[in-house]
Amino acid sequence: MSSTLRIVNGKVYDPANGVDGEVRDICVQDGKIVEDVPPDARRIDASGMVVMPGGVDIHCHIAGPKVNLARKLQPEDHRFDVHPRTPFTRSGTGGTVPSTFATGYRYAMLGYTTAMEAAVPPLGARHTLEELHDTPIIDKGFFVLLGNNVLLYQLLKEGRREEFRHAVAWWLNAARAYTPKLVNPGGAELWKERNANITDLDDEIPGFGLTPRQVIEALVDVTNELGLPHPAHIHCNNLGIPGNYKTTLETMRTLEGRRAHITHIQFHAYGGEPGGRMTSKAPEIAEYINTHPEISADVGQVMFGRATGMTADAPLAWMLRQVSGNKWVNADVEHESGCGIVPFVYQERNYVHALQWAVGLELFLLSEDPWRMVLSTDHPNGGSFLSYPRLIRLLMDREFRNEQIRGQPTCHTPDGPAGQPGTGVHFAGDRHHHPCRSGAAAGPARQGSLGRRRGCGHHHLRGERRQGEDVQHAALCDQRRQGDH
Amino acid sequence: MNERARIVENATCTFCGCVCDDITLTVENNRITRAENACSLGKAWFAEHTIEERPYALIDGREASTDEAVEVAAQLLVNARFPVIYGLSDTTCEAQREAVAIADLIGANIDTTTSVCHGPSGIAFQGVGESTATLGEIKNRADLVIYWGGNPAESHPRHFTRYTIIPKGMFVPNGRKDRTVVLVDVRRTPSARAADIFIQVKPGKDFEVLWALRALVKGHPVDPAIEEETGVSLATLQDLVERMKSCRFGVLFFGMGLTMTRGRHFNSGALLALATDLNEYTHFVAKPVRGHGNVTGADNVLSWQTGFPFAVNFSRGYPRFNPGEFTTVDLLARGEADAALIIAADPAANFPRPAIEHLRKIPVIVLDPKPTLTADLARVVFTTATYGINTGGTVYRMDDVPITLRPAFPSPYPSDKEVLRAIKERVRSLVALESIPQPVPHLLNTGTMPGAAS
Repeated sequence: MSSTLRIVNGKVYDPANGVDGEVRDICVQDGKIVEDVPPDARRIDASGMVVMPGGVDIHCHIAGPKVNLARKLQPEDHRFDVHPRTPFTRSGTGGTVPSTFATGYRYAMLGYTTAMEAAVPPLGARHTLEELHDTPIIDKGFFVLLGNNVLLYQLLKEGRREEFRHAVAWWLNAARAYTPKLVNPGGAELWKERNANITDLDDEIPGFGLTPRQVIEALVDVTNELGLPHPAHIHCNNLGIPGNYKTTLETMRTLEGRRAHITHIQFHAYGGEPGGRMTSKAPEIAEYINTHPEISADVGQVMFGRATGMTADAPLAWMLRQVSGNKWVNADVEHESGCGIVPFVYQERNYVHALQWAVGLELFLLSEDPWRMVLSTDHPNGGSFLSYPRLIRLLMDREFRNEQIRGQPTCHTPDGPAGQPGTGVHFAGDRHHHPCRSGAAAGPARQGSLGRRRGCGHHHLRGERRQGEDVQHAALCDQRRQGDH
Repeated sequence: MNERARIVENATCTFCGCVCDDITLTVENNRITRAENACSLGKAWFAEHTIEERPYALIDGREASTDEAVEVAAQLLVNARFPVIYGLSDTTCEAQREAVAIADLIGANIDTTTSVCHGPSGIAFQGVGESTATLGEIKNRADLVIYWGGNPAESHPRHFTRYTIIPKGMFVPNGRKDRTVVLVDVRRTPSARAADIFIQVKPGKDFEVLWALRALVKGHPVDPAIEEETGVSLATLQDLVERMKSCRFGVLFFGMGLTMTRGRHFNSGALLALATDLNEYTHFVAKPVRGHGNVTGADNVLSWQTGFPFAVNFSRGYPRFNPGEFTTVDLLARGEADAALIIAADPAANFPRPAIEHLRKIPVIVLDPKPTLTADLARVVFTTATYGINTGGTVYRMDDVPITLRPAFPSPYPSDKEVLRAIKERVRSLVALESIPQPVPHLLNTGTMPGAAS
């Protein structure tokens, strides 16, 4: 006998089928949604609840060598957030880097059914698969790091393009990965060679006579030739550096007309000069993406509170170590990247952190096509995935958002607190954002579609930030002072 | 070689933490007659392994089937109030996962041999972090290799030849000639022969030397009286600091000479902090030289399943970590455990006397391929297949790289994983009959996480 289920009285959002908040039944037979089921089917009463497709976290760090190092590193992060055993579930611990079982259960409790681990060196693939095996309930996969691969660099340098393509395909298959991931292309070589970093797309990668631009183009092209469901997943150069929006725009322009995904783009959307004060260039980034349907992105929203900086971008982690003074892990992996880990706290009263928070919200709200601007915190880099409900509320609830903005240090103007409701500012999110459309669900499935455009003009965050620009803050210097205490 | 000889390519030696996976085995009549590429320890590990005629299991010294022993073991564990699970460093990750599952089910204490080797390094790691690298990266790049408090020439013979000193690497094309090798230890061991520089430290003075090096790296003055205190002259330290700051890619390997002598995690922490400090000047990494074949896997499995690498206690229904309280030596010496499940370890051979005395008083269950002193005092003994030679699975090399096992020939005995899974299933059914702890809804609420969002 087949298993049948009828979910009744729920408010259904199903963007893929154009169902927008209708109260109706959902019928399930053998794990598939069907038109109807017999009257004796098991019933779930979902009165007062939203029924939606499971959320897809397109970019998070939940399994593998660097995640496990971050778990080991932070007993203090686990002990106040325990996850007890039940007769049906395993115990574990939480914090910003939960144990594997807790990760699966907690994603499921959020309504998320898929999570993609975003940065795995080929040598760590087996470890990642072992951890994903112990991550229950949700569907999961990972992206394999190939943007700093010295063997691939060698093939590129020698112009062996066909073998390069075969090598990429082999690595994807051998690692059982979903798509190639590029992290700060070229940066690992400089880091391992002399603790330096790439600063420009046309810097030379020492020893190979290649530039990040060439590596990015080659890997994006090969990924598209291979016809993978998700394009190459790119963490651009210069993450977190004031003025890096130019690198981000230049990366996207280089790829003009080619499918690509730019990840945690919030961290790559800053104006200003390196070492100087940071400003928002979210409008410029959002506009480019709005007008280029071949590009998709996820935001990498910063949420105030504890986070764990955890990245294959080792020079970035070293920078975080230097500004925070916090304990630091670096782990170089032969042939491809490595990782850096630094526990971190985003503070509401810190200019840079507040700016990062605002840049993320701007990117969401300025995006005309939410299917291509996916919700993420780059868990646990911008904050835990457990903060998604709060982030979704920030996007959907103007009153709440304004209340939060009033608490931010950059938002005070001579005329009083910013973001007063009723000022005529129009938010894209106010009428249209719901959990599905905020990019939590189905967004990834629809990337590249030019479907739902919805208008949005300028909004007050932009105006407020201009006010903020006049405040003299040397962002990183502020943090360095804190670190020295 | 007779006609029935079989060749196993790329076999993995699980004898030590090097986990060399380039061994070519010749197998004849369930015996390994040749182990190409293996070191002297590895050759002995493979050559001496035979399937002995032993009972599948013993219960109170009497021969029994595996199933009977599983039943008794499960009963002992479920009826214990403070069961302790220990060992795990010489078995596969698959078996380790089953062991943690059992601990979770019965609220046991679970701990590994890490707590008596590099446990202090784990504690130091939690305190200061670690700049580290895979062994392949060190092979490819390191031009300054420092060993501290260890004797790899005898404990890890291929460490020098396969990974660190001898091999030619991508960025050190002349191999040994491109590298400077330093050994720091309290005595001149056979490893000193491989080193360009040997520095002898007075016993128990490693911390002082490391701290002086940190000071010199940062440009602080150090009193020449350091020589009297530590046996190492200021000039020697200054020379070492100069080498460390001017190398391209330096590495500090450290052994139990640091972790199991006075100072313990302070020693490891000082060394890890020194490596971190050096990154202000050049690229520098550090790495504990781990002993057992899969002790690194045990750290990893415990960490991903519980958040903590060793000394984990589930008695409250969730994992807690507290070395000293939940480390096996300590809790046995205090007479706390009332049952023990020992997997692939022999605490009766190497624990302090008070801990062994307590083991004699409580029911002990042992899984081991060979007879051990711990098996002699155990109520229940399982004979299991040897990992790496008779069973497949995954182990982690000392640099956290997972390696696949390619067994040479089958064993009539079950693997650790199979026995542990059977115990787990039986325990699960027994626990289900007992009172089940109720789920605590407010703790499951995701909103309770401190700092998840302000």
